[in-house]
Amino acid sequence: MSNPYEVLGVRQNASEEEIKAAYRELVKKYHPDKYQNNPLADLAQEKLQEVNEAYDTLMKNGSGSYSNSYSSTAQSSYQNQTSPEYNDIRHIIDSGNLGYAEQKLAQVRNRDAEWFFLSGMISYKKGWYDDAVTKVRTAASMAPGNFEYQSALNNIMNSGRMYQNQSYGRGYANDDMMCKLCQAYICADCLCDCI
Amino acid sequence: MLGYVVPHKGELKIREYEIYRSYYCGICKSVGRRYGQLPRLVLSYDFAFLALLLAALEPESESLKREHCLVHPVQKKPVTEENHAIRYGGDVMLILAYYKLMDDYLDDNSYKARAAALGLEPTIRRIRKEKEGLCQLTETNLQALAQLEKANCPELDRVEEPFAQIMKAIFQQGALETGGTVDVANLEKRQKLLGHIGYHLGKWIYLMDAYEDIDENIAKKTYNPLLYRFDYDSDKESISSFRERIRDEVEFNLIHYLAELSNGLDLLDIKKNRGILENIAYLGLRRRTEQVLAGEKPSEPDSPSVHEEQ
Repeated sequence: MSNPYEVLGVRQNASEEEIKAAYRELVKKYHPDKYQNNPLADLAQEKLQEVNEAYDTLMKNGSGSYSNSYSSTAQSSYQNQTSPEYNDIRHIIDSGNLGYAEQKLAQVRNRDAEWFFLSGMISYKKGWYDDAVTKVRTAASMAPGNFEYQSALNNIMNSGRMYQNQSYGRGYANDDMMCKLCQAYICADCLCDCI
Repeated sequence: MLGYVVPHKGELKIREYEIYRSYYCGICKSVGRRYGQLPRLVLSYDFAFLALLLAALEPESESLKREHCLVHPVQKKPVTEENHAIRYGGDVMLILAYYKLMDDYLDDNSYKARAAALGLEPTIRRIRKEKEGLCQLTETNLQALAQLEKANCPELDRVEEPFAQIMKAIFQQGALETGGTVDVANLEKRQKLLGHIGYHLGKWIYLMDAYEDIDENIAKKTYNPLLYRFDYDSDKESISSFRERIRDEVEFNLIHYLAELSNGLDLLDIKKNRGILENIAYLGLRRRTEQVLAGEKPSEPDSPSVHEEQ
């Protein structure tokens, strides 16, 4: 097993507080919510597990008091009542064979809300977000009370927001004053940097 | 099409900026050494990112030298010594530049582009010997793209796909160029993650370019996917109100691509230079996005281009 300190990115004699802080950061980074319906979900899960193990090891070696590592809830994504036909297609989507799922879906004649939803999920997994949003939106408006469609839509809309928050967290500033300051700084910098 | 991928200099440490510059200069010098002076003229920043990313998977730190060059004849600049990542970055940069020039020639009958492409041809022939598959894939996808453009394709994702696939292949193959010591399982992981990053970077670049070119495409009556995707009608709205109307949706897509690119980067087993790579992913690319959406022409204070200074 790899060095737990390295996995958590802390130094060898880090305090319990530092370990916990690093752990919390990493859990946020690899959180399953961030990778829902994402082709990278398995790799994120793997990382999270590694982080959990490292944290458990350090906590046991340290105070030995408790272990409350984050466990990712393996949830089945589809709880809805659904026709056997759609159920099949859902399984194919889950297995990752998107081409085949697309083919099967094209054979379905009745284009109801679920059809648009599944078609949107295939697009999403392919990385076709513009298409995915349009279709899932259609599904949600055809079946306004459906929790699954609504939450999938929210999830898609959220992934960009998560990125934006992270970039603010790293010092991204977008207001005019900041820009002017940056420009002034860069201009000044160019003067002493050039040639 | 190229040249969007830059760090946000204000948030870089000076040491990090030196390293970033050293990759850029490293590619330039390496291309010059291997293929002569002319191919250096198509230098672009995007492939400094690729080289930096590929090299970041290796634990050994880079050895920097200080060298003079034509563009900076007085002050010596940091240059990374040639390695696999630098050579690869230079080669794929030339492949893309060449096909882009050919494309310009075929599209607009630009003889300037034809002349430049002719100048690159001997170099491309040499690269082709080693990277036949990649050249083939680039050609096929660009042909598919030309078809979609000719048919005025209204589906954003469909028309973005060929370029995204090219970038995906470039990044994926990059995993093979480096990483001599990695076991098979880890190599597969790297390929998947690099492919994910390349794919979304490709989508981002294509869409950025499309949004930036709206005015030009309307004026010249040439294809732009956004005009068809969002039903532009010159009788009903001005160009600026069209830009305004579609801005949020375009932004959503651009930010989504950057989010996925960053997700891939977060999972990658990075051994060094993480600060620079995250700066590019979270700050540099985002700032470029906002600039293009706001209709600002980036003044490139961060990235003196060889062409401009000469």
